Amino acid sequence: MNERPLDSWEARLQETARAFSYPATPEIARQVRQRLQAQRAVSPGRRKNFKTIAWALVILLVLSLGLLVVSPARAQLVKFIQVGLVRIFLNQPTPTPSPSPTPQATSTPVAGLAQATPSPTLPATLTPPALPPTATELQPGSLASIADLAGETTLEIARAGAGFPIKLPAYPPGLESPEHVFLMWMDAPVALLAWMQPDHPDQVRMSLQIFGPNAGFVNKWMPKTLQATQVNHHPAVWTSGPYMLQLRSGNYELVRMVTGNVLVWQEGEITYRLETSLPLEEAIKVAESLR
Amino acid sequence: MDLSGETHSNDTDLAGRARLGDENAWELLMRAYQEPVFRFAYLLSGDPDDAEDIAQETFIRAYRALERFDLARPLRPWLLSICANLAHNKRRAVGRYLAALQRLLQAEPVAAASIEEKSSRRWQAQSLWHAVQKLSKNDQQVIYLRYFLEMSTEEVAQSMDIAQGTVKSRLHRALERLRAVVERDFPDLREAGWQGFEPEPQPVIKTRDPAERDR
Repeated sequence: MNERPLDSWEARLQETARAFSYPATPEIARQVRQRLQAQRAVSPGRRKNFKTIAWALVILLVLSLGLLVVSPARAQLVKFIQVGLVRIFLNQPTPTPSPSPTPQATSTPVAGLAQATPSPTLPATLTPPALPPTATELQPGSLASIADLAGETTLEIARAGAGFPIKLPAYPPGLESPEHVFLMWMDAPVALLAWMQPDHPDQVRMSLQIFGPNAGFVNKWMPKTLQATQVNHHPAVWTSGPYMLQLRSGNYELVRMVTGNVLVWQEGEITYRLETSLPLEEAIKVAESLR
Repeated sequence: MDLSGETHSNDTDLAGRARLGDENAWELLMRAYQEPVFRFAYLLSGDPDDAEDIAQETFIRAYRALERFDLARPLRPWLLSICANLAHNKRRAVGRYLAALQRLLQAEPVAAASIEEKSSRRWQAQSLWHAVQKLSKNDQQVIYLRYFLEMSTEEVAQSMDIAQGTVKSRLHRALERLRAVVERDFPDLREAGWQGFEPEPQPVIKTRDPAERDR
């Protein structure tokens, strides 16, 4: 009988498979533990369904708009959604009496960080200021807006000086290191990474702002679109359409017009703000690819 | 010395504590199984970053499902079944898929590999993996679990939620298909001395010829 036994072939297969070389196993356990802790920190106690949170935000928005219509105190009512250090205001408040000006930052900036020209002290109200006469309405994604920023440096220096990890996206495939890296001071280091269009090197393809734990709040006013979403199971916000962006740190102010899409999310104490022309699903992939 | 019973007992204890919110217990379990879960995810996805994502998600989903898990069952097959589902369902953007495919094509064993390289077990294992990747998802899964992760047929059955007899038959068919792939598409493995690559034998038809018997 001429039968070739499978056993010897199978044994060879087993022997060869044992020699397979795997990549080093990453610290999955630690990463998962951190993610679970972060999720519990967002909703302490029993973890809530994210859809419930999203609906709660929607209900809050509807109620707020209703109050704005009927309440005589609507001039005082300011509603916003906050993700990390980013506040997205849903209405434009009327001016209120100015309390004491925001105190100047007293912490010592890290040597080597660019110091923006100190702006006049702003009242601590949430009134969006008029566009300063010296500022120009910047075209979205134009290099001019990047060139106007202070603090351009190298990725290595930014990583050394930031005090928090500066991660880079691994998506889209083939994405290399950012062409421009900025490290700014807004009560604490804030990193800005900018990738330019391959065919149009004067146009921004994508930018990523990374706010460390102690940076000043970033206020956004009345975006046309506002959508709750998730990044790595963390609550996130997706906005699109033009809106006024103001950075408030106490000693640094930047006003620019941003069109396109912005994804805002927080992981731990770090707030991320991704500006891109990609659709939401792709932007989430970029965000979730940070390494 | 068979420690599987002891391991299972420890896992049951840790899983029970993790259910009650003991984070340390869950971390100990994860540390015990993160390697096989990651390796399985890597075998299925072909990408270490994807594998890391899948492995993380596996443990997160397992943690959330811990309340419903039967502690009498072994943990490893259950984790690997979650891992396999995630790997199969993981949506890839076209770009990422193409990037993974490109890496796969670039990693194909090339004729220019030296004799020494081809004879190395590591090279052969890599080539074997590429051959397995040409099979269906189900064939891949059963081969990876049985031969790459060296699970018993019982564990493979638990992981795939099929009977042990079914595992054996699936393995048999998967290996036949794998052998055909290797013989057709991986001549370098044959040249490297990977034994067992002979022409398919003709079916053996046993007959009882009365004329023969009476000679």
